[in-house]
Amino acid sequence: MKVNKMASRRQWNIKEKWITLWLFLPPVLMLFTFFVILPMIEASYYSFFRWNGFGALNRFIGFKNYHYLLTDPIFYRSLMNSMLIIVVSLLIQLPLALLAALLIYKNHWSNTVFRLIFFLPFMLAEIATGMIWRFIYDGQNGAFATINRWFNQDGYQILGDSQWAFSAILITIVWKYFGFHMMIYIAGLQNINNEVLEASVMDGASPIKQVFHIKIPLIYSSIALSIFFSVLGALQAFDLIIALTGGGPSHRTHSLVSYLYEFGLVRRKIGYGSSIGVVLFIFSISFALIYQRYALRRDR
Amino acid sequence: MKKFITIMIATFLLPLAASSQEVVTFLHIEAAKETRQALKQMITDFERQNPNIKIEEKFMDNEAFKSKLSTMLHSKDAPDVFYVWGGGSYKELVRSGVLKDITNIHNSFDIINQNVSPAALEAFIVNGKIYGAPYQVTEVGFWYNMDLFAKAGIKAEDIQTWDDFLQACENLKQAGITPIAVAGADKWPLHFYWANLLVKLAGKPALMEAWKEGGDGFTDDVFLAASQLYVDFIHKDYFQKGFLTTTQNEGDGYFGDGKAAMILMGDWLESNQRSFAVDGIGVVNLGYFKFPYIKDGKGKNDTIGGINGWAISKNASDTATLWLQYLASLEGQKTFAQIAGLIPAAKGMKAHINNPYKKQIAENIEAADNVQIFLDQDLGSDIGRVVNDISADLAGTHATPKQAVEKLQKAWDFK
Repeated sequence: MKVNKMASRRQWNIKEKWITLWLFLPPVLMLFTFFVILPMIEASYYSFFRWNGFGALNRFIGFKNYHYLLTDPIFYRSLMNSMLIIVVSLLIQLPLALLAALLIYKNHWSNTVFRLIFFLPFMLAEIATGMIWRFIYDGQNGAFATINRWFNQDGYQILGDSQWAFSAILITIVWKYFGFHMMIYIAGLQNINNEVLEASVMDGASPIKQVFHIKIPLIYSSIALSIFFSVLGALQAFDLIIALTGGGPSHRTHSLVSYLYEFGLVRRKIGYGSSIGVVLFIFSISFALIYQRYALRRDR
Repeated sequence: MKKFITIMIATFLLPLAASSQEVVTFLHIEAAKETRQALKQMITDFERQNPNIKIEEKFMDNEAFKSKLSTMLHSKDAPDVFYVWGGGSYKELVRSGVLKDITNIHNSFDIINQNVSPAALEAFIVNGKIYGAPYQVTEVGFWYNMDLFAKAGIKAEDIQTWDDFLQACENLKQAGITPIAVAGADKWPLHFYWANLLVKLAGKPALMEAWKEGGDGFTDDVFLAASQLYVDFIHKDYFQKGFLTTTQNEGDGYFGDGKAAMILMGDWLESNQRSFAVDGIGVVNLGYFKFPYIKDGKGKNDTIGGINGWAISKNASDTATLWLQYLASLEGQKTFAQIAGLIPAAKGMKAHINNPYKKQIAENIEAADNVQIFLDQDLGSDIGRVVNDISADLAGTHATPKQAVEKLQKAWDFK
């Protein structure tokens, strides 16, 4: 009798699972198919056509869009720029964020003030940030004009200098996003069990040793997460660049996404734009897969 | 009770009576108050003359319009009559088959041809057929600050040839005045120079031959020559410092503040230099002269400008063409000139333009042999943007004239 009851309950459980599945999976699956999978398939289909968005898709051109893309120096420049954002994020922005987090993670009113100050830039909208930094970089009237005067370079416009314009963008990116990563680290650091730290002090660990042998290893998952965010953010970099330089001068400061926008959408070459999108997609998915497999796995 | 029934019947029948009117939807992007007022007046006048047609006016912001047009034209909400830029983008629409051929509907071609000036209508004819009509024209020329010219001892009347112009710039520079303001960050203000030099050198007919469907594109030597002329001019350093980061509003303001003696722009500059000047007044003693010609050029009397108009979408009813005809008619254009204060495309409208600068521009356009539409519009959104790119590249010495022309040809081949 008892066994029977158990069996029926188990059956019911399985049945329940199926009902849940049938009830809740379709909406999500449909949304995912319509708004993620289908557009991706469509874009890869468009990428084989010359199409300006009007009228019928009737000029099939094979791989010509890809050929043009892979022989376009501006594309390589944009790719380099996106990579440069990743490198700067990893080597400058994240260490800076970690340093700031280590300095101010403990709860104290002065630390709260600093946290707020460092986090403020992240709360600004990207376009607004771009506008503000345009004023700062303005060589005629901006804060940069003062620096120009020190070096007797009146009227020098860094955003118009093809050598240095992208560095100016990088500075703005670091300024804007390091506060966000700092917050991730602070959350991680505050979760470290105090007893572990106290024990290490008893064992005679210096503060520096504490950082490298206890704190950083213990917030590994936060670091892995913030690396993931900063790489994805770098691949998506768009608004700031559009607001600061619009990709100029001479298309030297595009990221992959702003390159797609300028050469695919603005110039009404939807087919070409789709081929850029496909390439960008391949980059993103390969990064995500590799990272999932090798970096995020360790904490399980 | 009887009364109630009558009211009921009336309420049901009234909308029916109203719906026997034919509705024509009309989409424009005119944000300026005066222009909207002019359009409203034209709608009222037209509806009074055609009681069974109702014009449903819709407005869209410029940028929203650009990005939404393609989806809109494929949907059921496609407007019947809508705003277009003449030249390349209009031709792109025709080629994509989203416009309606109205050449023979209600005699549209003959009626519009009678009223509109030939140079303007030409921008709306594709293979002898029309799909829309022009309503507004502009020209690009030099606006100058009379006080600064006097200070450097220059007279605008003396500037006829390109060499005269260079001499004037030199004199201004000697007098310690920045000769020209230009908004290099937006690129198209720089393209005005490249395009003007090209048109004055080659002449519009030769360009049309090179740029027709299946034409040679940019292989002719004249493109190299024009680029060289342009680069030589840039090297003389007549623009304000850091001009490659100046945006349109900043450039207009720079000129409005009296910091530079000249600026190459369309008729919108007159109000813009006022709005973006620090004092809100701008240059009071403002003058205008047309782009100088090149001595042995083939397009001495050709000019560069914009021609805007209206197109009819594919599924619009024949009635919609009547509204289009009215927009391009002498009566409609007169209202437009008087209220909007813009330069209409119809013939003999000079008398109705009150603004002296616009009157002068209207005269220039009428006297010109050909009006070449801004290259960044005429060559389509794709190659047109490349023209803007190379204008900025050459100005920033990121490319040699040869590289610039090769870049154009590459885009042409990939079209």
